[in-house]
Amino acid sequence: MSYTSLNYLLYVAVCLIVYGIAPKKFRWVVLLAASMGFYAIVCMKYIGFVILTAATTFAGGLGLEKYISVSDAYVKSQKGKWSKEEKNAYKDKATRNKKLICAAVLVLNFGILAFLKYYNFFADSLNVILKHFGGKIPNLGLFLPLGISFYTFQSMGYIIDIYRKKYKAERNPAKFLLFVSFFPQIVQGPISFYSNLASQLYEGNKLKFENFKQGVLLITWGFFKKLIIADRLAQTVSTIPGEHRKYSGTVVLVTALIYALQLYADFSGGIDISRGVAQLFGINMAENFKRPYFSKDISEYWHRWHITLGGWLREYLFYPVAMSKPFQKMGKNLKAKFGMKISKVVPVSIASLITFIVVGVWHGANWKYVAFGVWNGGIIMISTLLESNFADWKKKLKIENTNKLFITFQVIRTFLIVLVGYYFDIAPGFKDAMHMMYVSVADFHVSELLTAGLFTDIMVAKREMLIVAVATVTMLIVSIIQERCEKKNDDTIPSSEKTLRAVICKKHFVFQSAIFLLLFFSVLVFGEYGPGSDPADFVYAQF
Amino acid sequence: MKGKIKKRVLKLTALFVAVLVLYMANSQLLIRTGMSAESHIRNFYREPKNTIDVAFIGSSEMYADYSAPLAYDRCGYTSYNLCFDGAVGLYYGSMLKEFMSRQDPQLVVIEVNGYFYTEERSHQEGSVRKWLDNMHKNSNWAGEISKNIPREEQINYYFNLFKYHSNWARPEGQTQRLKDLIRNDSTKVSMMKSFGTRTATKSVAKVKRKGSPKMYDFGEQCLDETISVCKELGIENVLFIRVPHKDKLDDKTSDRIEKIVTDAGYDYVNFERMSDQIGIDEDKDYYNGEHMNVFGNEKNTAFIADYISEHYDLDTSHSEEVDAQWRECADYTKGIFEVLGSRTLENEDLAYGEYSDFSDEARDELLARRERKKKEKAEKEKKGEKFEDELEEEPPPPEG
Repeated sequence: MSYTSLNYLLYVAVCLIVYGIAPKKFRWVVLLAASMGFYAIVCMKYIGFVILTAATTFAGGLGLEKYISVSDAYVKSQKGKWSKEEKNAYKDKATRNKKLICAAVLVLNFGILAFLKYYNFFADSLNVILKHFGGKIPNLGLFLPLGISFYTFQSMGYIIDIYRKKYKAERNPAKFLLFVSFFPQIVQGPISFYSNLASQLYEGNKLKFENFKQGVLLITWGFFKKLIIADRLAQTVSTIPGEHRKYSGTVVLVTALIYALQLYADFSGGIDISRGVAQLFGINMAENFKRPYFSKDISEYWHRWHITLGGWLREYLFYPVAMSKPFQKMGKNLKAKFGMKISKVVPVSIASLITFIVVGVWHGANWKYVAFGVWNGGIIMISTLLESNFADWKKKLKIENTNKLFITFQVIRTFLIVLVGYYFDIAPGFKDAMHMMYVSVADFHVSELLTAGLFTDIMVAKREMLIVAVATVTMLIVSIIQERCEKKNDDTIPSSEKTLRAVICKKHFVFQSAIFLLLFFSVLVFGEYGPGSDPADFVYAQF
Repeated sequence: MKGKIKKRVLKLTALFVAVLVLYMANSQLLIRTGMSAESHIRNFYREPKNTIDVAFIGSSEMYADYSAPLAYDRCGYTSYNLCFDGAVGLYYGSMLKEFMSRQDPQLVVIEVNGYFYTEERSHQEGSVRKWLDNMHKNSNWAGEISKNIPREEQINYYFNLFKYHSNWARPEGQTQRLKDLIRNDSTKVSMMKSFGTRTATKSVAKVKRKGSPKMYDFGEQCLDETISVCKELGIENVLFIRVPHKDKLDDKTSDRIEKIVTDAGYDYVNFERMSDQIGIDEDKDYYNGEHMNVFGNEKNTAFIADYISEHYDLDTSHSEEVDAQWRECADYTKGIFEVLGSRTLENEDLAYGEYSDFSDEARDELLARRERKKKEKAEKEKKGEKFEDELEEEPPPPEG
């Protein structure tokens, strides 16, 4: 039951009706049943993994909280009785134990994820060495449970927050299971923080017409992106990189550009469907995309692309690494030798690089993903290190930050940097990625772009490409309007009302209906679905 | 509060109606099952209720080999070919039910070709859709879907836009279909009562079936089922026939059918065995192995019409309006047969149906187009590119 199937929409409709009928205090039970039901239908075999993660995190959270409160109370009770040394010694011990509980939960759950995700990668890598000694590690034929990355990250965020005493641990295991498995987001996120999502899931929202309208509009828009653009281009992306040596550099470059479009339409389309479904139930899930290809630098790009993963990594990896004792020590040493600027920039840059290598490895068990992480992290590291130099150059060249030509240059430059990263994504391996990049430059011919043969090569007929082009221009226009809506400097308007769909839903009913009908029938007629079409899975569902 | 809810309900209802109307319009615009099948089935529903004396059920043989207006002209009974290319016996029962739901024929004639298809072939989406997507959407239709279509695919039959939406990419084909439909519907009733031919004696549109057709166990089951439907509907006069083909039905198969049919109390005639009496000239009266051209059609129609008139006591009295309409159809059909006859002698080998534009200008345009497409095809093939002709003439009937 894919998010783009009719069955899923019917499932959502039934759940919504039951949710609306159910008494307010039991509405979270409906969501839990719907989430478990969805997981059972799609991936019954692995439902135990979700329950295991939820159970261990829930128990870990309660245990951790209890330990924290007991130890804190004990410290309080010993006030005036302990010497400073005794107090510090106890606090150190308590911190160690807290860390131990938290680490146990993290190691167990990340361990399961890592084992399932990376076992084959390590086995294959080791087998290259072992074959010289006649040994071999067996391939266990492991499969990833649906959404394991997403629910593991979400749950681990919770346990770290409990460790940090950000909020109280959840008392009800069933409620916690709902937080871990909420069905609209289980396949590919967004990864939510407990503090943002949990209360919305548990409080039993009233079904509002406004939410219904906005939700339906967002779902339809998601379908528009996924079925008209992404799925129409899926075959090109899944075929050409694997056989890239058969094609000219022009075709390879066009394929990379197509991938940039397909990936965005696929992932953001899927997220729109997820967020739209959640909104029907009155639940506002975090945004995952903010027009990433409008970014002026790579750092901004990562604040606009897969925002929730970026947010998670910043909160639970980047800051802890950058603020860790070794990094602080490194800063101090650098300050003494190279001054203030270097001491600030270098540790942050290294922490960025580590974070992006993790991002790369999260994408998959392959050296090309490590290269993807190094590329992105490296660019951020270099740009951070050279930031002041860039500022000097701009000053010398008298370039204002508001100069539109300069902004256009920045946007294109950032897109090209991102595009290089995509080569690692689509190529079968690291060497292939390098070869594809090479031919994209060395064997690129503008004249080839104008030949009919190009459409044959990229396996998209001219008319289909025309539809993709129209849909892409529509997406671009919508993105520009969204950007303007959100940039409105009116603090009296809540951010939820600055969205384009909120603006549309405030217009006259005829206008709202016309927009919906246009979108709906565009999807129905021009969408890539139905008998004879091969529905493509969401790209990020594999991660 | 009540007023607000009422307003919302009204708005949502209006939106729902708009969705429904647009959905139906898009479905109508984008559906494409082949104009031949669509016209034969569509025209059946355009016949005034309870005006048909003889029901004909079958596959492509019926619209190629038998002309209802010519039979009327000869013997005075009204009839209609509810048939389409590749119609399989599996659907004869529902075709019959559909016929009986609108007409009250005195005799039902069933051509047995549909029983010679394999089970796999009978479930091929292309031919199944010719029937299910063109018949009226009623309980008979829903019953056939639930009975014969795999559960996971049923939704695509209930909402046929799911299947046909990609036809937006074939605007030339869809435009041609619309033009054909407009021409088809320009008269009050169908003028030729389900008709299709090729103007040739040796068409390039060959049938793939080689040798004598066979009736498999599945075909026999379908025949039994058709008989059950006849009984269930209380039809007394049923005549199972085999119209002449170049590849004749072997005696064993024919005898087997005869036994099953006559055991059930119905009649069976193998007209293939009477080819000489009919006056069929195999070199001149067929356009391919399984279908007659207009010359064969005229001879076959005359023979079958005479046979029916002689063997069944049909009441051929009709209202003045019905007779006037049928007279007009018969005269029109005779005129068209004359035109097509001369074109057949020229061996132009073009496909025609009751919806066609029979003018010389249209014919010249089709011939010119055919030449143009041939060149395009050769050029594309030379470049190794795929050639797709949206207006491809009716494909040859599928093999059994």
